[in-house]
Amino acid sequence: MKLHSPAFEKALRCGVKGAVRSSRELKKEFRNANKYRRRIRSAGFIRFCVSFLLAGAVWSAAAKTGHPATALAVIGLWSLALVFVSARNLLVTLFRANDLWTLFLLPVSESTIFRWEFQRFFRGSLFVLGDLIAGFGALALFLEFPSAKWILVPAIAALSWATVLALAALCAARWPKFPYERVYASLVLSGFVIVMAMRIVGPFLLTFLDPAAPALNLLLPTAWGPSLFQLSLPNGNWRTIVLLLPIGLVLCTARSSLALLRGKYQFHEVTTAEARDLLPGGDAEAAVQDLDRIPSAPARAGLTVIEDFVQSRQFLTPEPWQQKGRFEKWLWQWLSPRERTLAEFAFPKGFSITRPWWIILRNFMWMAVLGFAAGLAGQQVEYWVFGIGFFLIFSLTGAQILGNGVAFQFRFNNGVNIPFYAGFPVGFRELSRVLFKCSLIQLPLLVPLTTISAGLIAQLAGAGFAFGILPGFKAAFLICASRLILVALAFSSGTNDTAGFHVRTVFLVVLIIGAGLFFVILGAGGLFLPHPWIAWVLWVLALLDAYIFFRIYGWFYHAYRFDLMKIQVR
Amino acid sequence: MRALDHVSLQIEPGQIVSLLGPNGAGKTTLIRCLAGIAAPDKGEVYFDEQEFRRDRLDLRSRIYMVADFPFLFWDQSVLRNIAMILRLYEADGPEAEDRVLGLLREFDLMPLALRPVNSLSRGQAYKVGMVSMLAADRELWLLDEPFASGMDPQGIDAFKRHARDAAKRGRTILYSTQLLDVAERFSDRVCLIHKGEIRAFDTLEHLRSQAQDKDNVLEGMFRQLREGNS
Repeated sequence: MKLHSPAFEKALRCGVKGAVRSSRELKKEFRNANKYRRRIRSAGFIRFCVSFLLAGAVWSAAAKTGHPATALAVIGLWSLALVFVSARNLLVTLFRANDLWTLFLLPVSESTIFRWEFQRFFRGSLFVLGDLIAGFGALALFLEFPSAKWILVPAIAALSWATVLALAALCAARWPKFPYERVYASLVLSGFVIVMAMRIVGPFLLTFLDPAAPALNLLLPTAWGPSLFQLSLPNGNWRTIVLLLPIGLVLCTARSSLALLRGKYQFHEVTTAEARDLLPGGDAEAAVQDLDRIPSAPARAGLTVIEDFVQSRQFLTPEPWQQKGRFEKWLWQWLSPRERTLAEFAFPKGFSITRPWWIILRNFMWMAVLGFAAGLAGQQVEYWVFGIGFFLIFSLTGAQILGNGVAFQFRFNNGVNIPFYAGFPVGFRELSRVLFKCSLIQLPLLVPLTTISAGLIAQLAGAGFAFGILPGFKAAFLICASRLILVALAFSSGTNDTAGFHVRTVFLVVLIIGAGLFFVILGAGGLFLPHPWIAWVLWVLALLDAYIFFRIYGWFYHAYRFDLMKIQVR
Repeated sequence: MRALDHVSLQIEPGQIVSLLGPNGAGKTTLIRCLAGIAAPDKGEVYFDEQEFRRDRLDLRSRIYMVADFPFLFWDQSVLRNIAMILRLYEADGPEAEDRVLGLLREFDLMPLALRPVNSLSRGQAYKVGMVSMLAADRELWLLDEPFASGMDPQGIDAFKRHARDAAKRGRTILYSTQLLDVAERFSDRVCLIHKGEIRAFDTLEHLRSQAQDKDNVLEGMFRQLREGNS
């Protein structure tokens, strides 16, 4: 779809090309502007490598188990992850695209803008098709398909891709408030950890997946498409063709999902209620409560109330957290006055600990009850309930332990995005210290959670509850230490070394990747190595690695190796 | 392409300096470099004869930058924003309340003091940034296009008055603008940037003495830039 006439575009393109060719200065500017294109191309290359990762995983699953169904389950699970990723991408592209507000100002109909944005999403989703072709291709290669059967690879990949897109559209249309961003972040992090610790985690995952593969291929909607691949196998069950029916039903939902999403593009006047005054509490609140009794008028404080509030210096008193809960109170007492200011800066609405941990505990209890109840139906079902439960609980825990508040949120400013903290005299170490304290105060809550969780996982794996206690205990400290790495990375938003090749840039990239890898490898060794002393030493080294990374990164930050702004990629 | 190239200038305390230049000349980049947001590939910034680095919080807290969209907590009230910023700059000492009260009245923000910033207009939100800056009263003020911020004439007038008083007290004000007549009337020195290079940095009197058209000095300089381009 084009938003303008092709003839106009052609004429414009020719005109611009002619102008660029005729001027040396414009040629130089053109090359610089093309940096964006190169960046996009490199992102495409990385995505291409991810497709090969799936191909490798499929090949490995088929080779190690000898069961094509297990390899197909890997593709099904990968597709499930892609449903969440695609739903998030669809929502971002349709409702948060950079060009959206400009397009709405142009004399272009809403349905055209919708088609335009959807088309962009669709183009991006071709990488999903690439993943699936790579996955099925790897399996076909492993099974030594004759050339005639290879036609099935693109056909089933296309069908599976269409299913993923239909499910993504369904999720985005029906459950737009689902925390896709959080699931996306958890998936990326889990994927990174699995890839890094493949030697340790891989065999465990495979023993878990192999017996469950047939059930998974039947239950997961994203595995229905891949299951059709079994038709091509010599001993394939022809009844699998029945899966075309539910696939058809899923594909049929796409029409209504898109209609629902398109409906949100229809112009309607947004009328919001007049903002009420944000009352700081105390006398001012009491004075205004009377006004609140008039139902049609928003609460307003009178000038005298405001003047008294300012004059009495009440407005300068930081809003304390201690009333919220015991942990918040302890944290507040632990922070110095300057740190309290920074904590209020990062978490202007207060930093909640008690309530989120109650939610985590409640979910944990639900997971345990449901998991053990599912155990009555079968061990495989029990594994899956616990697997999904742990994923959700640790996503919540990660967000709670590693949350940065608003400190690193980007604000658009004159063509670039600038992190919020950069607008104020806020130091690298002092803000990091506050955020680290926010994580550390939750350690007494995190340690029991990880210890019991690891014990449960060990119990489910047949190693006994006691086997998981020590790794669980150590994992809590590693999660807290990872905060040092993540907070350091949050401080920069891009390097300023754009003018050419610099040895220090290579050093920096090696440092980031190397220290991150070391942390994961040392941490995994510290958790899983059977020799106790070596495991303890590796665990301590992993903690040290996080601290050293933080200090070295801080040095680069202070030495102006990073711009504190991100240019929007067009 | 360099946003800034061979930029070298020394600004004395107690001066109001206007940064002028065509769009994309590098004015905002220069302001961001001075505030420590943009990192120069080469060169140093000195503040009060000391090298300005990101770890020098003592120096950073002596500078206040008001960006074209001020850095504010959009879902918090005007007063809470001001209070948090004052505490960040450790400028919440005695008499802060009188300063804030006076500024709220001057900028016509008193009735809006408890309103969330996201319910204000662009000009009003800019005024919140302005009041925070004036209440914090730092030594160096960096402002990006304050006269194109949507502030009403009353707000602009109050800013100018405070800036002049502050300059007398030794504060330094550096602001970017496209309004040549404002720059001519409201600056001690003018810095003209073009394609990342400083083309002129001088007092208006001196520039006037060298110019052919003494009434429209800056306009003449811009014209020369344009002719040089073509």
